[in-house]
Amino acid sequence: MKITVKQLKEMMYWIVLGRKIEEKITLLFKEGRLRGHHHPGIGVEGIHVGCCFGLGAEDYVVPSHRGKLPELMMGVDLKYLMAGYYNRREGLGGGRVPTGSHMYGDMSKHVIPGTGIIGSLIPVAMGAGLGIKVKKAKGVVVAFFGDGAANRGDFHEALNMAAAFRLPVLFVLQNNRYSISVSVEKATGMEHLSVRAAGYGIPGKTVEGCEVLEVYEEATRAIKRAREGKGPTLLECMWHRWTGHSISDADIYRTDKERREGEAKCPVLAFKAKLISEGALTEDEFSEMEKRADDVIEAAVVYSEKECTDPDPSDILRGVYARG
Amino acid sequence: MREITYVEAINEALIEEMDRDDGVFIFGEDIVVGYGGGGMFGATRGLADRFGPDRVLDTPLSEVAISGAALGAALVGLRPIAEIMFGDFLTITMDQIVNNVAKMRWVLNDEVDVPIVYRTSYGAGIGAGFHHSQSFEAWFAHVPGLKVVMPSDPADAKGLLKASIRDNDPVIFMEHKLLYKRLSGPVPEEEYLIPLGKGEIKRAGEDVTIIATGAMVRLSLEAAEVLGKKGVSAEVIDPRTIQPLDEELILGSVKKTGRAVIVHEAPVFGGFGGEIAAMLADKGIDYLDGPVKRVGALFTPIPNWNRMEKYYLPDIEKIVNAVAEVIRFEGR
Repeated sequence: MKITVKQLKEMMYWIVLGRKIEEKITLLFKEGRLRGHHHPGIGVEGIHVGCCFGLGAEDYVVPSHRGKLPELMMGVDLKYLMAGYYNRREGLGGGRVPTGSHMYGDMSKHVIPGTGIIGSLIPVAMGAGLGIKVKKAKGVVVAFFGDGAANRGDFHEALNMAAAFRLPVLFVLQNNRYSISVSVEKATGMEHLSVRAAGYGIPGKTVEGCEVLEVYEEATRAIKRAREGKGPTLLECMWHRWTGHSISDADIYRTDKERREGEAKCPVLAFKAKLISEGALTEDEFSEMEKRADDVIEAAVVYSEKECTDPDPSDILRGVYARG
Repeated sequence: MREITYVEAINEALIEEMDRDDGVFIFGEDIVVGYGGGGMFGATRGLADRFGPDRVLDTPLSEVAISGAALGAALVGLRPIAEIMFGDFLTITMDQIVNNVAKMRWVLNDEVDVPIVYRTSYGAGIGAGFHHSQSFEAWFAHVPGLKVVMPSDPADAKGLLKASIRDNDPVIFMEHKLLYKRLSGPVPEEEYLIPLGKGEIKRAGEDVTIIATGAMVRLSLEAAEVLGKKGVSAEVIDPRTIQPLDEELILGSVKKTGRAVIVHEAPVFGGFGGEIAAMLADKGIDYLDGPVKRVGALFTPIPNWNRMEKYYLPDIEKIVNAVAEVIRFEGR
C-alpha cells in the first residue's frame, strides 16, 4: 500500500489529537466544567484514523459514543464540537444535545448522529448506504459501533439487508471485549465476532486496532470494494478500553493484568515508534504535534467557556417540526 | 366525478408523487408482487414496472432495518416511503421511529429535513386477528416530531398521501385495511393536496358532534342516518390527522352543537379520544351541554371469529347509544 511520509505524519497528528481530546475532556468532567455523559475513547484512536483517513467529501460516517476522530476527520470544527459539549448555543446541537456522547452530528459534513440506543445506528447507516445506491452516488458509509451493539438484532437486520442489496457500507466493530461490565466471552459464544460476516455472505476480518496501518489497509480494501458496488464488509478491530465504560464507571470488573495488557497496546506510542524507527518522524516533530494539538484543544475550550453563550431554555421549542 | 377505491387512490398518489420527484422511492416487504400484484392489498401495484428495481424494492422481513434505513436514506437527501405491512408490526419499529426518526430534526438543530412516510395497513374488521388488526395511532401521536395521518375515504387518502410525501417531517400514514377495496368514492382526476392538520366536516348537523377517525367515520355517518330518523341531527367530523390535530374545527362544531361523542377503533382507555375529551374540557367547557362520551373497542386482544370481532368493535348501535347518553331524544 502506497502511503507518503506526509500522510503518515497526518495520521500521527490525528492520533495525537484524538488522545489529547479524550484526556482533556475527562479532566474537564473531573473538574466539574462539563456535565452529562462521557465515554472515554482512549485507546481507540488508531481504529478511527485507519478507517477514516481514506474518506472523501462524498462519504459518510456514523460515529459511536466513544472517540471523536471520525467527525473531526470529516471536517467538523473542534470548537463547534466542544461548544456542543458545553451545551452552548453556538455549539453542535445548539446546546440541547448530549454532544460528545450520542445523537449529535452535522449533515453538512456528512456526520450522521449516532445514538444512545446502542446498536440502533447500524440500520440507519445501512439506510444511508441504500440512499447512496438509490441516488447512484459515489459515497460509502463507515459505521462505528462496539461488541455490545453487535449483539442487538439491529446488527443482524442491518448486515443482512446491506448484504442483500450490496450496499456501500463498512461496518466497523470496535471490539473492546466489554459491553460495560459484561465480557464478550460471557455475552457470546465466540472470541472474534467477525466470523458472523460469513452468516451474511460478506467479507469479515479481524485486525489489531492498535496497528493503524493494518486497520488502514483493511479499511481501504473494504471501502474500495464498496465503491465498486460489491457490497459491505464487517471489519472487527480489537482494542482495550483504558478506562471504565464512562467516567462514572470505577471499572471494578477487570483485573489489573487486563488493564496493563490494554495499556501496552497504545496506538500513540506504537505508531510513533514505528515512524521514528523508519525515519519518517523525529522526536521534535512529535513534540510539535503534541503542542499543536494542545493549542487547538485549549482554543476550543476557551472559545466554549469564554466566547459562547448559553441557549435560552425555550430554544427546545425550535425544530420539533419543520417551520410551516 | 369518477369513483375509485381507497386502495386505488393510494396507488395513484404513489405513482403521481414518484413521477413528480425522482427522490421519492419506496421499499418494504412484498411490495413488488405480494398477494395483491403489488403489496398485500395492491397499493403498490404497477410501481415496480413503472419505476424499476432501483426505486421499488422488496426487502427482507426486517422491520427494524426498514424503519432505520428510511432514516439513513432521508439523511442523504431522499424522500423514502417505507411500507410496514401491518400496523401491528409498527411495534417492532418503535425504537427507530421514536428514538431516532422523531428526534433527528431537533438534534440536528433544525438543519435537516426528515421527509419519511411510513405507510401501514391497520385496523380490524376482516377477521385478521390480534396480530394483524390493531390501531396504535395514539402511541405515535404522543411522540414529539411525528405526524399521524388517518384517511377515512378515497379522496382524503389520495390528497393526504401526496401531502405526506411532500412533507418535510416524518409521517405515520395509517391506511385502514377494511376500506382498501370495500370503500369507493369520488376522487378528482386533477391534482390536489390535503394539508396535514386540517379536518373536515363529513356531515353537517346541529344537535351533536361525532368526532371519528379512519373506518369509524363511515360507521359514524351510518349512525348519523339512524339518528336522523329519530330526529337527532348529528354532525360528523373527521380530523383526518390526529397529530397535528385540528382543534379549531372540533371546538367550532361543539360550540354549535353543545354535545360531543368521540369514536375510534382503538380501545377507549389510553386512546386518542381521551386527548380530544381533555381538549374539550380544557377549551370548550362553556360550550358543552352534556358529558363527553367515547366509543372504542373493548379492552381485550382482538378476536378473529366474526361474531366476536363484531362484539369487540364499535358499531352503529354503540354509537347511537353513546349519543343517547349526551342528548335526550325520541324513542330512547
